[in-house]
Amino acid sequence: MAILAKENTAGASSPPRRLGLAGRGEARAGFLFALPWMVGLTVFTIIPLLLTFYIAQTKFQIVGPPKYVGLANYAAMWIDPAMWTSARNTMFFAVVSVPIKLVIALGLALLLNRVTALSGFYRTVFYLPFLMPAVAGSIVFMLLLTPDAGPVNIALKALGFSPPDWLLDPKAALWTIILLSLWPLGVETLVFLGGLQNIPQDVSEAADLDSPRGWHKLVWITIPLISPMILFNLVIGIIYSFQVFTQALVVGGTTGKPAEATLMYMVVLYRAAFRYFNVGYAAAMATVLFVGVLLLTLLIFRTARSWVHYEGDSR
Amino acid sequence: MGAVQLTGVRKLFGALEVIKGVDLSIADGELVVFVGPSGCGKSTLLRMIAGLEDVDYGDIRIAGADVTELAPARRGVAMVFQNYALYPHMTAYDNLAYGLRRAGMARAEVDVRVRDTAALLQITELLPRRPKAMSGGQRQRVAIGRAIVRKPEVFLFDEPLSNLDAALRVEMRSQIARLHQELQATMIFVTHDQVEAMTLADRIVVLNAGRVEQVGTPREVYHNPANLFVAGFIGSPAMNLLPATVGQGGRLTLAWGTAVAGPAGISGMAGQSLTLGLRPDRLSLVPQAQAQASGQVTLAEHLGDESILHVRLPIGQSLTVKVSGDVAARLGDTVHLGFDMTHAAVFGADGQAMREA
Repeated sequence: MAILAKENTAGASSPPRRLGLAGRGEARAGFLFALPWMVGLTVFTIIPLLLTFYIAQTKFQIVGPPKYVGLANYAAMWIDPAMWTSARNTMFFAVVSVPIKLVIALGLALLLNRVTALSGFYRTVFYLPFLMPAVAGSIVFMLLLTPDAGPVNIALKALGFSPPDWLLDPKAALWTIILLSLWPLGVETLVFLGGLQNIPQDVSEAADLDSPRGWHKLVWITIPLISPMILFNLVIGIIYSFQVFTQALVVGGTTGKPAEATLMYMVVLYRAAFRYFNVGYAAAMATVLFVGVLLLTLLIFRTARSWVHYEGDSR
Repeated sequence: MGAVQLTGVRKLFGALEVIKGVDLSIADGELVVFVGPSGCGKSTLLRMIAGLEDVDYGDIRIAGADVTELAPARRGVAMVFQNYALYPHMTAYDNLAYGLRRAGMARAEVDVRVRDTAALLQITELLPRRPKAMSGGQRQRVAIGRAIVRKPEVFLFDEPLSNLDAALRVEMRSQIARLHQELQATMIFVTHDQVEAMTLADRIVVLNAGRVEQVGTPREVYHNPANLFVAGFIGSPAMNLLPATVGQGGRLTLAWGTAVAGPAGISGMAGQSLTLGLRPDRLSLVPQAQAQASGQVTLAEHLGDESILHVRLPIGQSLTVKVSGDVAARLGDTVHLGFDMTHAAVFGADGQAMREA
């Protein structure tokens, strides 16, 4: 017994230095299984990323070879008013739309979590809009928001409000894009729903016994326990919100009408690449966006240590 | 602390009635154990008292107040769950303090209550730890602390020891018994473990298929089972249930022809079939001349200070015999058995106990 205990202790403190034959075979199999994904990552992500950083330092207009210009594209960005306007609009969009989207998705998930009958049906209904192309969805919303004949304004007028011109009023247009971005919410809702259903029933019941107020349970128990899902939705939401494009292009075109109120960063980038064929400049914008979003994501992950709880975490 | 009163309590899951009209009074300060086989409804009944399951019919009163429609947190109950149900993102201190804080208690008072409770349960050193960094026994003590700290009217325990190993279970069992003595609180304890039920309970409630089969002290349900179900369920190894016929002069004739003294009230029931119940410790090994049954040992379980012999009689009837650990009976041995009719039970054709023999 004592010998066994000693062996176990030794085994726990000093892991084997080399993989045995079986271990090596397993490692090779693992590598082969991962290989297709690694090839895809290299060809479709790492190489294009590195190329983008290279092209950002060139003058490249698709036709003809790229010509090295150093940091000239970044200098041009610094003095480009359209870039600053679009960056401001995009940041406002991200700061406003992501929290609103998360709150609504969480609310829907909480409701869906209470549904026992037809839960599969409701989940499908919530996810279906995600399968619709964003362009089609945006056009439907534009029809709904048409100033005079649109059903939204007709309804608001009938209720005694004086609704804005959602698409042409500079004060309302950016909010219209934010509104469009809130639909669909299927993925975020389902992610939250997965988190809610992962909360052990007895923990939830213990909270019911500790306090009669539903919001106590939501704030102190439910939200901390689904914090990994909140982090996931937050990071993905921020990444996507900085890349908002379709809704902005449909509503504001490439000029961000009205009065550049809907001019988004990706629209300016698209305009530079495919309207002015200034691919080097567009690549510079892309690298700045990449670095900016990367830093923001790292910042969120750093703060996440204090507010995200993982199940296996004993801190 | 509060008395608990259940009146005509019923619960249906769709068309399936899982609690079939339970009437039960639990006195203030009493420790009552709900015991029964899996699926008998004991946990459901406990959850109905907690407010975690709706009551379809009947009502529940705690400390005289009708709590049937009240939210769980307003009933004055605290519950200890089988899987501890600690909040995984909180330290033990915060787990204990959570309910008090939500109730609006001042920080200093919360601190005093938490530390007093921790001292009572000897978990002070665990207070800064999260559940993941605790063993099963430590988690269960914290879970009990979370219940105690709120000073509820009634404590509810839903199989709290079933996830612990045997040694820890014994330790926690005695700790709960000590707590009951110290707090003098009303406690309802659900278990399928008879040893827990017998050792902890002031009274045992035996449940079967959503009905209460018997309510009584551990001695009552052990020595005077109300029916065949309780006789077969309570006691390990189970009571021997022997088919018998009432003979002339009120004697019982067993299936293999042996006659034994029957209860006084059966003399007029000649020819009727009954069931004689004998605990395994009421059977003993005797010389062949005094034997009331003889058979072959089919299984011998040697437990140290005692042995359990499973004996098959020539007619196919099996008997379980509890003998001293010194008895060296082995598989295949022929043994001769004598019956001690003290505390023998007799059950009528309807399965209900008639009276002591």
